[in-house]
Amino acid sequence: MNKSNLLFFGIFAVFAFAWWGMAVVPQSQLSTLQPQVDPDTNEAYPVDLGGAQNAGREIYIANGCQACHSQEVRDAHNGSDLKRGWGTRRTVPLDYLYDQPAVLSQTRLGPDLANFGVRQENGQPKYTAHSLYKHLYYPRYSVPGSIMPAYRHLFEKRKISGERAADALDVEVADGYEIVPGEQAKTLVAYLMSLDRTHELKKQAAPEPAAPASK
Amino acid sequence: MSSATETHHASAASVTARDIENVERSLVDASARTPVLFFYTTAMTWLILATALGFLASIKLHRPDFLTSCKYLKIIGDSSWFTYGRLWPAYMNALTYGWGCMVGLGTGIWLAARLCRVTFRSTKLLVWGGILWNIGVTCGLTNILTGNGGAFEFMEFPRGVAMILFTAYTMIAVWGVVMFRLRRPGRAYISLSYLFAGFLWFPWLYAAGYLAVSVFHAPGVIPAVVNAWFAQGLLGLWFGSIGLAAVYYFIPKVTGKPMHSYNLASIGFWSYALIFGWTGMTRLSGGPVPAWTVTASIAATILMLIPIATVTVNYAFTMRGALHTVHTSPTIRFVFFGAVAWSVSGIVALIGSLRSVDRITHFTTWGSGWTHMMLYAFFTMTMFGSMYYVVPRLVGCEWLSSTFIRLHFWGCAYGIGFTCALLLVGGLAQGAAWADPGQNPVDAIKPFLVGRTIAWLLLIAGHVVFALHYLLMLLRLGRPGGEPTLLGHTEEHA
Repeated sequence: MNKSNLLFFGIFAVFAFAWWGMAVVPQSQLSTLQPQVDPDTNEAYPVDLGGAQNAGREIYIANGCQACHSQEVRDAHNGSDLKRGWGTRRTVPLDYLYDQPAVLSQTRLGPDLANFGVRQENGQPKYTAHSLYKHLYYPRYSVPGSIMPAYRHLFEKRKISGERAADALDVEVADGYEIVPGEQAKTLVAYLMSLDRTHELKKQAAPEPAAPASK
Repeated sequence: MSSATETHHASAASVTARDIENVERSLVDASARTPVLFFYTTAMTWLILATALGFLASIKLHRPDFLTSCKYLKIIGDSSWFTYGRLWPAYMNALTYGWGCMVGLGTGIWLAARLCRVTFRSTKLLVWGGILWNIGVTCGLTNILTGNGGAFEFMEFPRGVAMILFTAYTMIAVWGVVMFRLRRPGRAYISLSYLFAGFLWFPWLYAAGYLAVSVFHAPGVIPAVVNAWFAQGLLGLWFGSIGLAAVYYFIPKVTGKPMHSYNLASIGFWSYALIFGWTGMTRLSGGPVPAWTVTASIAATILMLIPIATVTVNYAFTMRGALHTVHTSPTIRFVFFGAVAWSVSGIVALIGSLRSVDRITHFTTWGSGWTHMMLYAFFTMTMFGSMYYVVPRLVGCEWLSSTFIRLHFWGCAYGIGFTCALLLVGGLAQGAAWADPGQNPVDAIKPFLVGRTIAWLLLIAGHVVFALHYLLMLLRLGRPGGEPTLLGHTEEHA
């Protein structure tokens, strides 16, 4: 009996030790994070975008976007994230303060989306809401050879009554019909366009010297 | 062979004790029949479903418009559940919670009953627990496919489902505690330590993981950190414990040789128990998490060399001189494959955790390759081997055809071998492409993804043959009991 109590205690103790080290301590360390406030402009970062962003994130998760897309920019010595224009700096825990939860993901079969809302290509925004709708509806229109699924279930196909809707997609569709983004597509696109974690960090958090409050 | 004659002499001397032991064993087996067969049968059903989901997910990853151009199947092709983002987690969860947990619990309770030498007086609670678990998995998969899944690996089931699973698990595991308390004195088996540990760790892991992520809704990156610890623990500490318990039980049992060293096994167990729980944060290497946690996990992954070496030395030396059983015994063939895969996956984890390698392989299919090594090449193959040993003792007849067993083995061995190789090497290719901003990594990974779909065909063949064979056993359509079904010719080694 004594021996089995020892076994029980040992099994219990080693697991408790790892749980404490790998889950409890990081949790308590991370839960002390506070938004940074710029002393000159009184501007806080990050900003809690609240309900709309949470709703969008829920649709993002429900459709398993995180199976192929990360929201995590890594340092220059860890791959080409910065060179690919996915961000201006690596992302830090502070960037995700109001994300419930942060969808970091561990697989990239497509580009990172941490700063999707401010992505540029040749000095122009890479996507507008409209081109993003089209991309979600059928990704191979805009990116030939893409392996992204077509999210047709986020859109509505309906009969054109009178004038064509302003947000109708310019995609192939049977005569007399139009494709318009549904409620879910709108929420998701608003969420994606809001993703911006490029805010400059105060010195102690940033790896490189941060310029004070330059706008 | 001298060792063979020795065991013959020994058995002749203690023939009465042997007989009593055999009667005891058959009583234990008879009492375990209903729950274990129930667990195994539902596990097989989930395996077939997981196979279908995994195959479809694999196709969809390189042919995203699969079935959308066909006029009649378009209705499936355009469905929301038929997108990779839902098929993939549905596959992983069907494989883990449907197949993995059911077959693991089935083997676990059978092993525990045998090792504790305790018969089940009532199996109602076990069977109801099993039914509840299956209800939970069904609800969970439905939730994922209809768009109510979560964001974290192995935690995609919503919290309501997690509560069902937790309750079901408690109903099943209560038996583990009862058996451990009632166990009859005998030799201490290292398998029992692994089982006991696994049965204790799983509910803690599951509850602590879900509480942090889905109940208290910890903000920011905290759920990601907890999930890294959880996912690693689920693979290594839950499936790892049951798989290694089976390795330590079946290799000495079937080869008839005692385990090489009990002290080594003890060192292997405790070092593994102490170290593995710390390895999870390599999953978030370079990410927005406290840097020390990643460093600690890399150190732990390297320290895992201690349990890997001790466990490997132990089973390898036990197998020395009995290697011919790999040719003859289906159980040993599968279990030995699993044991070797466990050692290899530890080395793969070590290589992948190094910062210089992780820089390339992070975010690639490398991670998925490692997961498949743990969950399939190690755990699933070990469980197949266990089933080849356990099922005949429960149904009272032997496996019908050695050809079926051989087809099953080669289909699965080549299938999972190719899958892991393609995912790991594909991960390197993809990582190299990610590292160069001028390249498109999708082009680099596509051939590997096509290859994986082909590897799936081998796995499908293996699973279908095995499911059929298992069904025949359930219908008592095997060979009459007595001599076990062996693979190959025994005379050359006899």
